[in-house]
Amino acid sequence: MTQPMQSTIPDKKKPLAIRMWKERWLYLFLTPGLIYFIIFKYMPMWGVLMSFQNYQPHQGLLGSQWVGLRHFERFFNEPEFWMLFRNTLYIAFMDLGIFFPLTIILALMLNEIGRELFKKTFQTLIYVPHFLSWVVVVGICYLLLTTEGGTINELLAAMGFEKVNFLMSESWFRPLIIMQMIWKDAGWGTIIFLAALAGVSPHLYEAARIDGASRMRMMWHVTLPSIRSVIVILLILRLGNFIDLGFEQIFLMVNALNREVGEVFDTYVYRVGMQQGQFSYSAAVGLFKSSVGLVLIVVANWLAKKFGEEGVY
Amino acid sequence: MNKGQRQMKQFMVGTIALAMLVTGCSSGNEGPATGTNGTNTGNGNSNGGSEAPFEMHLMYNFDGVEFPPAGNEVHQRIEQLTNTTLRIEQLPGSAFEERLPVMLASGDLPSAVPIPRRHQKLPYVVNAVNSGLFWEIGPYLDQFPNLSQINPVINENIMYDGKTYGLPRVRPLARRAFHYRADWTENLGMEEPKTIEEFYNMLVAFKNDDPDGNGQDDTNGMVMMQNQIGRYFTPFFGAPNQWEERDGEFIRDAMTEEFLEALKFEKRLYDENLLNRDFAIMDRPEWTAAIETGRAGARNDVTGSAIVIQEPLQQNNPDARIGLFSILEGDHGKRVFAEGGHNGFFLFPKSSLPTEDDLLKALRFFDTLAGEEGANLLLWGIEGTHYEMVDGKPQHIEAGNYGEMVGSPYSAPLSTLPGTVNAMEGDKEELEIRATEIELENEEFMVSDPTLPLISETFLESGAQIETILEDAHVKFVMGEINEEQWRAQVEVWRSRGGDQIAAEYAEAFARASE
Repeated sequence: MTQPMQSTIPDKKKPLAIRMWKERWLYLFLTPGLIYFIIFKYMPMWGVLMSFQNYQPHQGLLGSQWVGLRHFERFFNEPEFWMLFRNTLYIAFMDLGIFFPLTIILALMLNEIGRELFKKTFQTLIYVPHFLSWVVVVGICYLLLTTEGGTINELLAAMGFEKVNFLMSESWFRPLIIMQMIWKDAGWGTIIFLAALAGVSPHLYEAARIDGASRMRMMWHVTLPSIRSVIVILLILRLGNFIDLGFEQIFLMVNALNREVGEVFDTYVYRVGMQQGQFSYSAAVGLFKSSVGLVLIVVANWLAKKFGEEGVY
Repeated sequence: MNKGQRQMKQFMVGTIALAMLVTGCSSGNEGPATGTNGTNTGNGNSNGGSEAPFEMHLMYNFDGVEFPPAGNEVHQRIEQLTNTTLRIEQLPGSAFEERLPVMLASGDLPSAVPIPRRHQKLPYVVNAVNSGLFWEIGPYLDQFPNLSQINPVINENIMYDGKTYGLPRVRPLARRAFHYRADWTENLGMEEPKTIEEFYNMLVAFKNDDPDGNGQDDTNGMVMMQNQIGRYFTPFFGAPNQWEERDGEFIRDAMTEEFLEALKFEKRLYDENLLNRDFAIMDRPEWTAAIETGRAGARNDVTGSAIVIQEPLQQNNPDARIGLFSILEGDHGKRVFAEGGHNGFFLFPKSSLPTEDDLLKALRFFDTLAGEEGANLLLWGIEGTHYEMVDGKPQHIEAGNYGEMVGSPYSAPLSTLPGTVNAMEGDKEELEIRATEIELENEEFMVSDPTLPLISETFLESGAQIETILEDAHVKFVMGEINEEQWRAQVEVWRSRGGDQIAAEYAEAFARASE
């Protein structure tokens, strides 16, 4: 794989401008990407300034009053802060501890399917829910679970059990959230793993088979080690979004009776900041979340490298 | 999930800042391709003689299907009538609300900025008004025969610091109403409920006495949706409309015993299964469907929507009829809560209307549209195209598609004084007539929210946040999740988390305004 790259190495002795001219087409291909990042990712970063201001649209970023860390102080001193923190972490850990391994397991299972047609059909089927919006997914969930004629509650009643108020209960909120996440996105999450699995050399399996390894043994000693670096990279990337939860999903599922376990940073910012036009405060909470994400990525990357894996940078 | 993440990121720093930069840089642009450019007809005009047409730049939300093409007949007629050249940019409702702060940031403002009702007291609007970005229009209104007819109560509701800046899109002040199945009460030999007890009895009968006469237990009492608890029955038990001003002190509804009585009534409805069990998570479409399909017999909404729900209901069941009332009498006499009486209002920026003369022309534009000819145009459209005269009364022509061609694109956003004041009157459905009657009757029994024109900094900052404490407590109390004592404790939490502070700030603002 490294073969073609080596041919460019001798060029490094020449001046940069000449090298650039030589590779001008490659640079041309790079430009749209660069422009995209500059315009849509770097320029908006100035907006972060507003989290240290009392931002007023008509005064603009330059004219608004500077207030230092006031918005951050307010956020950390909110009585809700720890509730939000707890809820967010809880769901984030469920995401990491249940959803993420599940996608790997699902990918491994798909990989074990021998019949190509069956495999492809099954793969397509589990991708489909990903293309539904959260509004639809939550809507289906409501239809199934409501106490007023919901299918599951009717079934429970018909079997002589008491109806369960799934949608308005604190204890059911988190299970429902994770189940919806799995139903909607677990299939989609397998894609990259499947691609990695396809790249595992068949020779390794042949060798293992000759040595008399069972399927489980092969999975454990051949398949998993082969895709380990992909798993690590995806894990690191996922950590970056650790506390960015699906806003829509949670927003749609939260109500008066489960707010205590359901409200997370994202829904809080929407309710308190955006809807009330408090741009600076919203930006401050957003900045806080991004900082946590950055710290997690840096630490995870450092750890990964410590253990001899390739990081994301 | 990626979608959600992306959206949230946009919500955070991304979009706001990005949009600000992008629109800021491109200020002077027309905005998205959806905007339409007016054509100057150059025709004579009905007022102002040979004066050159005034360029009127407007931007507002349009929630119809497709905005009529530029230079259409109605557009031209408005230009002729008002002696203006119209430049209209339209955006869907949600995009429009997001665009407003950005627009203020860019400084590229239209001739009149429509502020949605919900944004009246948002800090970005209040600050812009306070920093003198907009004309104070109060002193000029007297010159305009139609605009001066706007109910002063409504003008007061949108004042900033006791001064009039906004030109309201007027709607009825007290329009809350209950809808019920009038055919069911008839089947049961009942009258329209006049008191709380009669209303309760009606719900009991709806549930138990098979009002649709099909021999099945398939009917329910009342259907409510989320965020309605603690709002609709409170006037009948004597509670204040959100806040009450007593000797300069401000008292929140939830702090009164009357409010608790109303909440207990709702709890009773819930406990006796006369209210849908899932009200806390019921959304609007389902709520509407419950009435349309005849599952529930009563709901609470506004006067104008009774006719709107009767149509689909009658498609399901031709014999069905909707009845309508606003007031249930209790021990406190007849009471009904008033709202702001407007669906947003226009502010007039000094940057796009630099001289007093410009301001007067912009106001004249709205005044002319509220006059007889303008009101007829907005309410009925163009004769022969959108309506025809039948027995001396106008009637919409179905093929004219008034709603899509005139109603949503021009009438709804540009009407200030309601068209009904000066326009021709057509034949009305019984429910429409009843709705208008009730709106008028209600004005006598209105209870206003004294805080409408007042500003509280704490409310702006954390009002919505602590409001959730109250809302959740009401729902939990009605559902029996918490008892009265715990409910009271939650109200105390609300008070200590800023409620008392808000009350004090309102009292202060009130004292200042009444000086």
